[in-house]
Amino acid sequence: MLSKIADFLDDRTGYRALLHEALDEDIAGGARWAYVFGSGLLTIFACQVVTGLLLMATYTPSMDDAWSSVFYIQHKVTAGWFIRGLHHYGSQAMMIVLGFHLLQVALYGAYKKPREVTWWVGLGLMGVVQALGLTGYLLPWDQKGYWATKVATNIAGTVPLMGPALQTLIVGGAEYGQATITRFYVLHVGVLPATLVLLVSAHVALFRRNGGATPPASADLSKKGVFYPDQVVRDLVFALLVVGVMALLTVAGGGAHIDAPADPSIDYHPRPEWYFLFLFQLLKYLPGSMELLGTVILPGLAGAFLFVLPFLDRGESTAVRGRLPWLAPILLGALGVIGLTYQAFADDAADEEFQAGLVDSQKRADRAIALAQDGIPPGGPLEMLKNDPMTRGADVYAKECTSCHVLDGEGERSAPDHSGYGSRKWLMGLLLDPDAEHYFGTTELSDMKPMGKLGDAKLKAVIEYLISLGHETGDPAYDLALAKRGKRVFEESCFDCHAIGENGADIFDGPNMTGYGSSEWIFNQIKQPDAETQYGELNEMPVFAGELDDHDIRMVTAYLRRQRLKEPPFEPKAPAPKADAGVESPED
Amino acid sequence: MTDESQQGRRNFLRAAAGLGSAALGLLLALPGASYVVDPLLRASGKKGRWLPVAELEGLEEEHPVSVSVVGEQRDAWTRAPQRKLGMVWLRKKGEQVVAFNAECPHLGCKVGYDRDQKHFACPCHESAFNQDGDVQGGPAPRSLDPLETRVVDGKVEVRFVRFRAQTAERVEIG
Repeated sequence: MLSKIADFLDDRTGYRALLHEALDEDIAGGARWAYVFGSGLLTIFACQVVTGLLLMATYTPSMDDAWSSVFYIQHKVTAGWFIRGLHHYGSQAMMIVLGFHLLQVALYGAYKKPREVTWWVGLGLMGVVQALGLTGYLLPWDQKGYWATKVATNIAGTVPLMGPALQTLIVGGAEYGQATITRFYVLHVGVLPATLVLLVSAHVALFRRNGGATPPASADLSKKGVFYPDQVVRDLVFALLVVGVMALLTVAGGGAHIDAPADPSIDYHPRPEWYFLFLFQLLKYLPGSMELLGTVILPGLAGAFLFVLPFLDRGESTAVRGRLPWLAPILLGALGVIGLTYQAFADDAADEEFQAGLVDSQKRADRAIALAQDGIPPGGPLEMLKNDPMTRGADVYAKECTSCHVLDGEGERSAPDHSGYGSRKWLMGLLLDPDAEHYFGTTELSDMKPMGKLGDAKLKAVIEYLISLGHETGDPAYDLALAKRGKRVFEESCFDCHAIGENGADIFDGPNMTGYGSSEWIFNQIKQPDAETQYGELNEMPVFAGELDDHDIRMVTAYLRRQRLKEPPFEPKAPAPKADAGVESPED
Repeated sequence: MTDESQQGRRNFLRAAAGLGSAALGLLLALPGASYVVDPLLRASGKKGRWLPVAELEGLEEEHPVSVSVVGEQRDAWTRAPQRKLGMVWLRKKGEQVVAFNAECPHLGCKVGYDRDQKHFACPCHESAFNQDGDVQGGPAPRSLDPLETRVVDGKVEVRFVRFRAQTAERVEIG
């Protein structure tokens, strides 16, 4: 029955002749492991097409959705992380196998007559594969892709004469934006793959026309092999090895990394993907005036050399020995690429600032991914982060506040330390020694006396009262009875200088404690610290009204307010010289 | 090598090639298939939600009015707080409000209302429904889908749900 169907199909299509043509080709000198790279590249390409099409079913090329859709693939869609990981490592495997393919073909002299055109088409393919890597790197619209591609397109802009126009065409305008994504997308999923398919067809057709393999000069040509199964099995073993390694890397790393969403306003240390690092490293060694040497001239010369190689090395012999002058530049080039890549990695490993930048960016990425789990607003991931106190608040704090305040060890100390700000332990430290360096010791404010004389019980009560003043829904509960006792202690012992509402500040006009530690109090303290509701005339802090908009102040407020749930890293203690341990008042 | 052992070796290699190709194919096909069927694996967690749609004052007893339903939409990675989710027809009936999902139970076109004939009419395949939603003609397999309503402080709220098209029974689809 099956054979009848097969006969029918063969009669109508002639598929057997086609298969015979494709598979039963003789290989001069027998099948070889050295021949596996070309078909290995085809396998990886097929894998890229399949995984790429799957990714296209989710990926959305827009500034507000690109990162989000990649996040969704990576963290939500079933097996999305695996598909994306294969695609990611596939692009890298392609570069490596491509390098081996080029070296093998060059060593065996396969560029020689009559295979010059096959060689040139191969060089074209190499360009297309590199362009695919470059365009794909931008698509997640994350920090690393954004910045690396920005550098790459600026390099395109340095090309003499047509550079600026070329850059504008690639970017789709003067600035990076929506048109950049859609242009890179259409290049990556349409133009370049289609070009690749055309060139591969030509490459393979030429390869078959000119008699397939070019055995090394030493080969025993009396040996004969048949493409299927002799070579196919070797090809498959290699393909399985490569795809297996891609899958292992994917599983080991949980798929490809996503960096924080692209943000032009955040500091970043851009690096290209590792297979372009040698070019990046080369630019470090060239003075600005010789930039063109690294960006255009040297790569151009390398390409030109490979192109004219069939004309330079015209001898009949494919023996390596006689061709060394022509192979030497290729081998030296390969060594140079490896050396420069190694040096780039070594430089970065030793660069503390770069490493710290990686950690910062990873923190931002982790935070963005955590927030995105619950859905991303229509404005995209940047809007999501802009409304996140832990991100936006931290950014504004680092920029505006760390010139005076210290938080978690970061910042200059000329105002109170904010680590654990508003927590019980922080308040205890303040009451015991207001002039300690973690509190007001580095400021001109020195009117408040150490309150250790109140004794531990009263101090704890006052602290509970202060906690109650800033209490908001959602905060952990406080001890109501203790706070009530603390209120009485506060009225007895603190009203001389501090006011609550209309009462207090009887002798001296100290900082107003109404709502102390609440979001509103902190907000006002940042916006207008010299207001009557805050430090009034005593204020030394810069007024941020007009400097920061209300949204940013709210973000810093929420960011700071979380400190009351933590503990400061320093221990509360009374001032050293004369310990005020004397007056232990009994519990009231 | 004899012809026979040569043939045996080739057969073995052919089998190995078949197995190898199958392994490569499966490595892509299995995750690929689960990626593609992801929407089937994803249980729609959304059940009907109470959403305010109109002021009671704006409704009539004689004719229904159509209003859009606006609420939070979770769609793939997006969480949009205020998105149009659909349309409902509302009519006052004594102290109660009668609400129908405006999607035709036939194939989901938005049904309109003919004030002269006092009936709902689908613009696609001419299904018609009376003011109570009962089928008056056309291919619709069931009456218009009624939605639960309540009035809170003069605001009409509906429990907005959508139903599968083309079934005689109502099947909620979130």
